Amino acid sequence: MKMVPDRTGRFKKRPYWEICELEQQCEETIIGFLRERYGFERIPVPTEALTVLIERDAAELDLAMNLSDERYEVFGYTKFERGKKPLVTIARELWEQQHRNNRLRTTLTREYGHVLLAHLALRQVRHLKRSAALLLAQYASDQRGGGLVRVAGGLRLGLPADAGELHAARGGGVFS
Amino acid sequence: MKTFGQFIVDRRKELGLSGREVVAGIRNADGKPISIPYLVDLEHDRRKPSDEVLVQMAKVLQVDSDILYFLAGRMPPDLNAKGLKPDELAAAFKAFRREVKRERKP
Repeated sequence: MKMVPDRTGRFKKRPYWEICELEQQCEETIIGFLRERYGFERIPVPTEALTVLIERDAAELDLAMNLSDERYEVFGYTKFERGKKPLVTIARELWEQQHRNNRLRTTLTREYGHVLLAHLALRQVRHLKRSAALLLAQYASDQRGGGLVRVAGGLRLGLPADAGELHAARGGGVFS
Repeated sequence: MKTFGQFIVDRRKELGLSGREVVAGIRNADGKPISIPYLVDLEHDRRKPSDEVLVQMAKVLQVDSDILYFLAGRMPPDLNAKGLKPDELAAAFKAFRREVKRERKP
């Protein structure tokens, strides 16, 4: 990770990761967690492991009805607030409809990606004011986290494509 | 004092249990495990559990069911307070308050 000048005016510098760095960081996180919880690497990653991982690093994992609107399908979002761990919300229908289990898993991993990358960014930059830290967390969390679900190339579970997903409040504290 | 939801979620995490592990050990009246959304609702105090669910929840979380009844704002059914006369009920609450007060003294 390196800090590069930010041209949007949100902060002087912003974090920049190479894709391989992100992949590595995500992979280390999930592998470390699986070994700690199960004693070995479980592939595919159990859905329950994803929920426990979120509960470990986020303030809360909640479910909510009707996240989607007429234009976009939204199955999860992560909300950042000053001085607090992020709040992750997942669409209730994904839990209730068995045939959408894969979508549930990809949504959980995507939202955990937001949590993890925000955490990584803040760990690098400790001197920021709380408001700037919040912005940075929001920014960083919007990077890619594919390594969470492609452990050692052995797991075929990609993150959902960006198309059709709602980035409702870029800079507003919520990432879907 | 924690709410019912806060208590069960903290206890679950204390035991290192995932939501799935908890719901696997709790069955509804129809014999099916309760669902994850139902558990999440309980953990967020959006719903109150039935007696059957509450008792099983106490077992899974390894806590006294009386504590869960108290946090859920209900009397344990075995107390059967309905049969008590008003004076007896008042005396029982008086004894309960006395005990709580005694426990709180340093």
